[in-house]
Amino acid sequence: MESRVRILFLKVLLAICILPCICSGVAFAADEATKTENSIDVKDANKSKTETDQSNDPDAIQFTPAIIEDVKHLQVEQGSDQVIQPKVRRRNLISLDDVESEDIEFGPYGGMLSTEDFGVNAVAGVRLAYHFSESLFAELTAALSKTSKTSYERLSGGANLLTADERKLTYYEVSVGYDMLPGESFVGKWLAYNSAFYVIAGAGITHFAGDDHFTFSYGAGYRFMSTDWLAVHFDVRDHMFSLDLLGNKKTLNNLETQVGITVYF
Amino acid sequence: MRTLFLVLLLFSGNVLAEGVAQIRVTRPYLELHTGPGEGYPIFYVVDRGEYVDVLVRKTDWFLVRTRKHVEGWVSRAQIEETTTTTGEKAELKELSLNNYSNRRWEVGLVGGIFNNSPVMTFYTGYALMQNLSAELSISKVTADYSSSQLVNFNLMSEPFNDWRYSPFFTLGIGQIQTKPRTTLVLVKDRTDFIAHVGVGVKAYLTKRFILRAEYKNYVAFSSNDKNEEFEEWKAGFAFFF
Repeated sequence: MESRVRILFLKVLLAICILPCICSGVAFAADEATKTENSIDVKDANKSKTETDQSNDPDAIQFTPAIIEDVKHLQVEQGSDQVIQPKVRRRNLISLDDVESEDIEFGPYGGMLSTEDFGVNAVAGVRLAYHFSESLFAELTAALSKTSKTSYERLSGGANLLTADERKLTYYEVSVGYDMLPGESFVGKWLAYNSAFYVIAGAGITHFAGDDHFTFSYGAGYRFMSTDWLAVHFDVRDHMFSLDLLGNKKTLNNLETQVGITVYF
Repeated sequence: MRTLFLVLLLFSGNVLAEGVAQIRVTRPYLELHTGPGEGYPIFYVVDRGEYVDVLVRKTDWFLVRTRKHVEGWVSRAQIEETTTTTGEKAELKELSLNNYSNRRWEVGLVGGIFNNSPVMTFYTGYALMQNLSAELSISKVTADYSSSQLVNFNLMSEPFNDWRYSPFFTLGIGQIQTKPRTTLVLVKDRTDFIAHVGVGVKAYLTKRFILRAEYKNYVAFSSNDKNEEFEEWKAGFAFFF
């Protein structure tokens, strides 16, 4: 049940994030994917059924608690060879290697980005992370923001440094993070949620003022696991890049605060 | 973006695979932690002989549910000390160097220095033969007075790809497009053909991951009859499947 909710959530999330980019292709691709997924399900079910049927050691399977628990009802059928015909619904047992792995995180985030000299503006992005181990992860982020006018532009009246298009800021970054303080957060007496404080650093490219700028970023964040598969992130990052737009070359420190949600799958 | 979407669909397929793995505790007891990590406290122990359901895996931790519906996280080491319902030892297959030698696709992100400026490269490779791959890469160089985009195609020969640290050689061609900074006026965009040779080393890290470091020497056939040479040093991660 839980995983159904998650799939729904994931698909809604995907739709929100990707629909504007590939409006036409999505519906078709999703349709195709659902078909394939369904057919795999049926195939898997059949496969495991045959496996159970052909098992050389039926006794070992018959007496496991899982089977006993799943005996839904016994049916008495008169006229058949057996007086009591047990109707057993066997559970779909899978191997340990097939246990669903949840090492990938995906989700949107939003917040405020202070672009030095160009005001504090809203920023929106998406994050995709992969957890190598219980404490180490890699993260890909892409976000966009629209910067505002510098004080100089506002005071001088008409002198615009950038065109409307050049004011848009986009960044793409790849980072490595480390869960430094994993732990639990408590809400009242009965509720405990897993959480982690992590540090993160990375590099990427920022497109701003008509040019691409090599960007170095670092920061820290807090991950709150509201369930085992849904996390809420609170992050602070500094994106550093050089800009020579205002005469001399200057390293900009662009601080960003963001809140995001991610789904593990 | 479309690739990302497809990758996501691929992984969301796993979510649909309904079913549960079951194991029997054969070590003295099984420790259940409150979270998927060594530091989370142990809050419950399952006795020897009991059966538990394995629901989900997070890196090397497994979420299990006992008969009494207690859920907790068990380390991989302890899981491997149990047996399956048919009495076999519960072993987990691990991807190894052998999987790398027989890989088909490789996708990676590497960064470094191109002609004294930062460069970031995304590449994908396809193994034509065990020791020969075709690679396509897109790089972005952000220099002080310009930014360039490189699209490269190269062949990569990796004679000893069953070694943990394996050297490789590349040979390829491509195109470099240089765009001057918008603050510079009267300089035009330039597009040149390039050829390159390279040498590097790959290190098999874990699971599906490898480290890659390389050096490349580029020759750009510029339109003003004077060829330019660039040097590039890069390192980064890649995963294969």
